[in-house]
Amino acid sequence: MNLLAVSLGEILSDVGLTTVIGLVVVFFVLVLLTAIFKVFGTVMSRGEKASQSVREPAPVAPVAAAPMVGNTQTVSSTPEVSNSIPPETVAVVSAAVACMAPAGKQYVVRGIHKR
Amino acid sequence: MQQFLNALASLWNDSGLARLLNFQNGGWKNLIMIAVACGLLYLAIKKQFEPLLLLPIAFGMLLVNLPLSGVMDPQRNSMVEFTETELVQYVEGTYEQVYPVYEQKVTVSSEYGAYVSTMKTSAGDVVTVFRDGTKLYKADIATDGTITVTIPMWQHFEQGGLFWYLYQGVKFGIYPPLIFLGIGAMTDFGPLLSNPKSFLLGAAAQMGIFVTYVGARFLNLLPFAEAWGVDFTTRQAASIAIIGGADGPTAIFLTSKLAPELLGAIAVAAYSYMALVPIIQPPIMRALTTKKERAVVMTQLRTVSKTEKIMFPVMVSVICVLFLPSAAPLIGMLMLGNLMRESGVVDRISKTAQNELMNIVVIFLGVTVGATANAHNFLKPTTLLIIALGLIAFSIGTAGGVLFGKLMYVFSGGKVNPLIGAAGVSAVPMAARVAQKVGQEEDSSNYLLMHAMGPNVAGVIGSAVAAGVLLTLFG
Repeated sequence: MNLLAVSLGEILSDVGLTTVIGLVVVFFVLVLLTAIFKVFGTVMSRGEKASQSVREPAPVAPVAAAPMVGNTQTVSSTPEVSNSIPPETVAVVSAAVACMAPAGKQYVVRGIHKR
Repeated sequence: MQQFLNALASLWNDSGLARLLNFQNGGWKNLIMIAVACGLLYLAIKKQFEPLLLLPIAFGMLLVNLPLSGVMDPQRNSMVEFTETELVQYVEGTYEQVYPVYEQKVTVSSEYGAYVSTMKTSAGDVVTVFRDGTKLYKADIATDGTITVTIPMWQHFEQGGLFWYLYQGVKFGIYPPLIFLGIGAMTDFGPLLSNPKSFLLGAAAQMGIFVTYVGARFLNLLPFAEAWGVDFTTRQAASIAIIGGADGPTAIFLTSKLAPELLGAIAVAAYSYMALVPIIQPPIMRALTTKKERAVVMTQLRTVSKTEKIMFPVMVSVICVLFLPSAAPLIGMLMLGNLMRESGVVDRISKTAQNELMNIVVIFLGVTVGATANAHNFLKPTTLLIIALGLIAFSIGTAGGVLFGKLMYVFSGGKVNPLIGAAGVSAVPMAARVAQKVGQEEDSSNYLLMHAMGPNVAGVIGSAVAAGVLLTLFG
């Protein structure tokens, strides 16, 4: 087929159809995944909290206000970091500490220094 | 002395250098391609732009453009007809078989009965033969009078070049899914699971693919199109557009299925732009966001349980493949690799997928994709257009992600930093690092890396889904 001989209208209809179908399908699949994993995450979190409360009925004492990199805490200030350590390293170390924290426990990154 | 000079002249004429310097016969094209390959080698080694892939691609390109290297020559199987003497020997049963003989059976009508006779072989057997001029063939006459003539031929086998054999892994779509297996085994989908809305940013960043498809199709209507030989078919336009997914294996997978003739140009464009993420993305990100938006500090991600991480690859595979079966090789292998990682029970094969297998496939994929970029295929105006369209695709993809991020910023009441949307264009983890870097320009204590990893890995799934859509539409 020689596209040069194809009319503008035909190309418009082809590209319109492809773009709409493509975007709709991509968004549909990923929106579906969003919804499924949102629900799944909520269910899993509730399940974990429920099992935790069975295991640890006593209330957890509040942790002293300090820069936290924990499971639920927001980082309120930055830990003490040597100048030569790149920010990516700080982020990775903080994330690693957060990942190691068992559910319900909170860890604090107070400082990162080179030896 | 004359013999010596003749031998020297013959040696020179058979050398690659003579072909290279034969400008009238297109030697200059090879010289340009060698220069391009050297340029890419420089970028890979000196500038370290995606060196793991750019280096083998560039070297493959270099080798294939050295005349007479033969590295990409296809294997040839041809049939050679017997000589008259050999035909007689074959009928007589005295033919000494050196090469495999293939017997072609041709049925002719009874009208040719005059050509059929019998002859006595030297062994004393009587055989029916069909005489076509001076040629003699074995024949059989059926009860209805039709004649079956046996035409023997010997098979001539010409071995192909090394890269041609390795290239079959690209041609049959084997390498890209294997790379996806390794990527899956290396990827932590935790950030995506802890914030599933990141999937939407991964979807928005695929906008570049479809906008570029429109652009590629409309290029055919431009005044210079005919002069430049621009006539992108729907399949070619779809292959060019996938560059916007910023996912090399996906681009190669789709192009090998839809437009293998463009593989070299598209692979080079895709990997070049992935390498140039830190240069291309920041200006777009800054232009589309305000200082206030860029400075948004996002809340810490929740910890994702092991069960969720194990369920994720299984669920994604089932959902995606049910909706888009054509995406099964990519999504399936990506998720298999991830399941091997997260299950924790197959550490050995998970590590193999991440390291040895991945490295081997990267070498094979790189050199063979580079080897498709020979002067004849690559040095065309369309290559320039593909590179330009790739840049447009990539830029629009980035813009799409950032704009959707802005939308999420508004709807979340300012809790989402729109910069993480730019990471939706796959290019793992480079795009996420860029989001982190641009965010830190406004607030050095802002760590967006893990937040950007969500859209980043969602972009891998998004581009595989987009490839599946294009494959379904045009495959």
